[in-house]
Amino acid sequence: MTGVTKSVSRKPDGFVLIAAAISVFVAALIIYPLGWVIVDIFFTDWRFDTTPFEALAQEHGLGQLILNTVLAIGAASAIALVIGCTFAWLSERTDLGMPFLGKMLPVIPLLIPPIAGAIGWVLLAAPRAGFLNSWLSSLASLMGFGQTGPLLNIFSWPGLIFVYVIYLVPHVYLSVAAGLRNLDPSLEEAARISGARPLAILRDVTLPAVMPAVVSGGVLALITGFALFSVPLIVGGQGGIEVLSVRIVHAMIASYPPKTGVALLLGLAIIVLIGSSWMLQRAVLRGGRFATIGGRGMRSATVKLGGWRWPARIVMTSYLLISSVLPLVALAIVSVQPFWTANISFEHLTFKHYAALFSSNSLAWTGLRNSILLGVVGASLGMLIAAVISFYIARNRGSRLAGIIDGATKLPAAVSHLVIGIAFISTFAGAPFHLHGTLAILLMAYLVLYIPQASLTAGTALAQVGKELVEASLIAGASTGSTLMRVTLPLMMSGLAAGWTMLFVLTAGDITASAMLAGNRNPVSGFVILDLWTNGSFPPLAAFAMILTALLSTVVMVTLAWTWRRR
Amino acid sequence: MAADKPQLDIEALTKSFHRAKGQEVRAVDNVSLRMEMGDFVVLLGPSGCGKTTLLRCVAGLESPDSGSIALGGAEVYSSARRLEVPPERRNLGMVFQSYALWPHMTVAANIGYPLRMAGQCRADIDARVKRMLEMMRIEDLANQYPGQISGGQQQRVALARALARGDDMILFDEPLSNVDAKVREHLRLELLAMQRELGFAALYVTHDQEEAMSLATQVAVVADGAISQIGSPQEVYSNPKSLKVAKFIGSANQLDGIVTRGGSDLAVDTPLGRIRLPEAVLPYAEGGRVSLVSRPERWRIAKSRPETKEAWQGRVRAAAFLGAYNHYLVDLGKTELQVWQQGAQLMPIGSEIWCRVEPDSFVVFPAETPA
Repeated sequence: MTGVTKSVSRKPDGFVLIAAAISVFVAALIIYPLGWVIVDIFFTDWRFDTTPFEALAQEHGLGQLILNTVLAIGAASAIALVIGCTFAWLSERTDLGMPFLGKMLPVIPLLIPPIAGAIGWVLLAAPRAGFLNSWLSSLASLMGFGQTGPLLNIFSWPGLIFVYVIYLVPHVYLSVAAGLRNLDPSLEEAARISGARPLAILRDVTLPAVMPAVVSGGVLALITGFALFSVPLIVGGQGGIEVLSVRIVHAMIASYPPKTGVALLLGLAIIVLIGSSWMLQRAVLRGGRFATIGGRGMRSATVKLGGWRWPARIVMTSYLLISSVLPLVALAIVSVQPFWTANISFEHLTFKHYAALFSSNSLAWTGLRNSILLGVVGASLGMLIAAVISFYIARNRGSRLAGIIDGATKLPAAVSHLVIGIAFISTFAGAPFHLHGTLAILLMAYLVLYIPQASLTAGTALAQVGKELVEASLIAGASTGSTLMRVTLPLMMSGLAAGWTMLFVLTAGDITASAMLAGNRNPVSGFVILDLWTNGSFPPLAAFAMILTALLSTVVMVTLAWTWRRR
Repeated sequence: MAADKPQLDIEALTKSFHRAKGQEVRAVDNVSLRMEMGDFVVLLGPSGCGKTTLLRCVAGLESPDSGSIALGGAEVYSSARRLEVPPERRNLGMVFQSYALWPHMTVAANIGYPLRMAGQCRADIDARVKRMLEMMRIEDLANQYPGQISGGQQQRVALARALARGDDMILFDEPLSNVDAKVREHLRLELLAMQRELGFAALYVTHDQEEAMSLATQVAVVADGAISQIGSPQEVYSNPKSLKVAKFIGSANQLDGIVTRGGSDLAVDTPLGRIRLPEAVLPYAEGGRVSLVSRPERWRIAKSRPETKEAWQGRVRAAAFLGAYNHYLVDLGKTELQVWQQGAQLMPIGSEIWCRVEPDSFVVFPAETPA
């Protein structure tokens, strides 16, 4: 017996050390502010402090607030689930024959930031000056119905839920469509052979088999809904429907000194809601048995829609029209009018709002420049960090440190963006960091907010690079660092590019963190939009929303075209 | 169902796929095939030959371009009549390569599904499912989910589901390719026994010729979208109609040569010298280029020179003990020969040996023109 096993000591690889350092730093950047804000708010001199709870008790209408939140987002998520599943099934499993629309449907909400869409719908369906109301009432009087009151009112419960639905459908659609695409088509073929008709197959086989994708799409819709701040601010605010996210941001920015304790406690309420959604997901999926990915890449026998084909096409096209085209058209019209009116006059067509926005040193122009800068730097840095972290985790799977880092990068997805915003203000704005009003605090916050999405895409991209390819490079004598640079990263490129695009769009169009962390000294596009909205100046607001939408769409289109060509 | 009608009748079926750049691939090229009740037809061919497409056309999972398909005397597809019955109304069973067991249904629910879709009452379904489970000897799995059982058991469940409705036509799409060799052999025998007992017509796709031989009443060798030869396994094996079939079915030694007249008999000049063949085997004119194909098990090797004239000296290049047979690779000058021979003693590599073969072991084809 030799008895003693000596562990082979390897020469520490320089790259592994750097990767570990980056990973630990990012984990700290996530964990430290969250821990600090909780200690800071709830503990004074290391004793539990009840002041925030007393302040919360002073807040009015808390029950109504939570009820509103749950009702609006619950209803919107349920509707989004039905629409998203139907569209996913139509484009993945039937002979609808509109591949372009199927591809575009999930991408479009990336192109139009929620705040622009919400404003667009305000312009369309506000009770007094909404275009649709004006057009519909002229139509009604033409048809001899006489003068009618406004038919549509966006500032209402149905209006709020409607705009929520538009921004929640894509999450459901993406999840369910991916589930359907990965489902082994022979499961459905076996049901056909067994004599099941298309609807029976959908009910007995397809839906149950992709249930995890359906449920996770629904939960994603719920979580996104709870965090969405722009839609309820713009649509709910006027309608007197207040939800949690709006109250939290107001507690931080609309009162001085900021009611951090109240905001944090309400933020914890959102975390509880998110947690309950996850519990719901686990409960639904518990003990269930679901299809694994077939992946034989076979074309599945499609369901023939027959007479339903054209109605289905019309419904999908009009959805696209309603969710994207109409609000954009409204924004475009208002942006070239002297003021917002339902009577469009072509003589008064003006580009002065655009010119004003671009005049040097205006808040809007600075904000846009900052957003582009932060978007480019944040997305590049974020994807690089995410790639290194996912590489580090994959190489050190099973180690405790790797586990902690993996958990930390997922944490921001579980904790609401609002809470992270609060934590960043209380940790970094004052002493000893004094980062208030700087671009640095925004960059750090964006990195933390979007690291879950970044590491998810990087992880997926890495998983697609075969393990053997990496091992072959190591066997060939390349160090870990050069393997990453020469083999892994080039192969991950198209996945990373998609991730970069997503990160850029999220960062440049961010409004939640920007509302709390940006100011006149460090304006970004989200802050500018809120500022214009508060001033009530609609044409400049519309012009700015148009510019932002054009910018984001261009970036998405360019990278999409680039990745498609590389394939 | 009329007794005089064939169970499956495929007439002049054609199906093409369009590849990128406008290229057209004929996956099924003017195929006709008839099957009676009790027939077990195996479509045998290399991957990409179109055998699976043909099977999926019968199932209704692919739409052919032209031709017709009738099941039990009733047309289910006809390009002339613009008729295409969807798969759910064709009343046939199918076993998929991936088994396609629904992961969210128990074994019993999977098997009972075709009956449920046929609108049978609960008691009937339960009774039938119970019988199927007994038949497959998997009674204890009734309430398990597919994810909890082994590959061989999943295969049995898939078969039970395909047979549950008692259809007369069952399709098999390489059903044994996902289980290991031992289980495969066992399941093959079970499937064979089940088919002979129940008497359904089976159309079976595989690329494994051993599987084809052991299951089929009729083997149909498929190449380039067409059936090259169809016949009993023995027929296809011993009398292949073309060099292609001969080389695809089983292992084959090929000798190219030129027909000459050697005295009274016809003979072929090969790299091994002149081989005399009976007139019946060699209906080719003098001077014609031919290929002689022989099966490895028809050859014999020995240490000492045999009595016959047709014997060649060579050297063992490789030798493998495979239980029932010893497999040898023998060098005869520049010619390489496969020989399968029974015997307890494996001749070592490098042995100088003598090979012989009966002249009637050769099947002769016109030589393939070099491309």
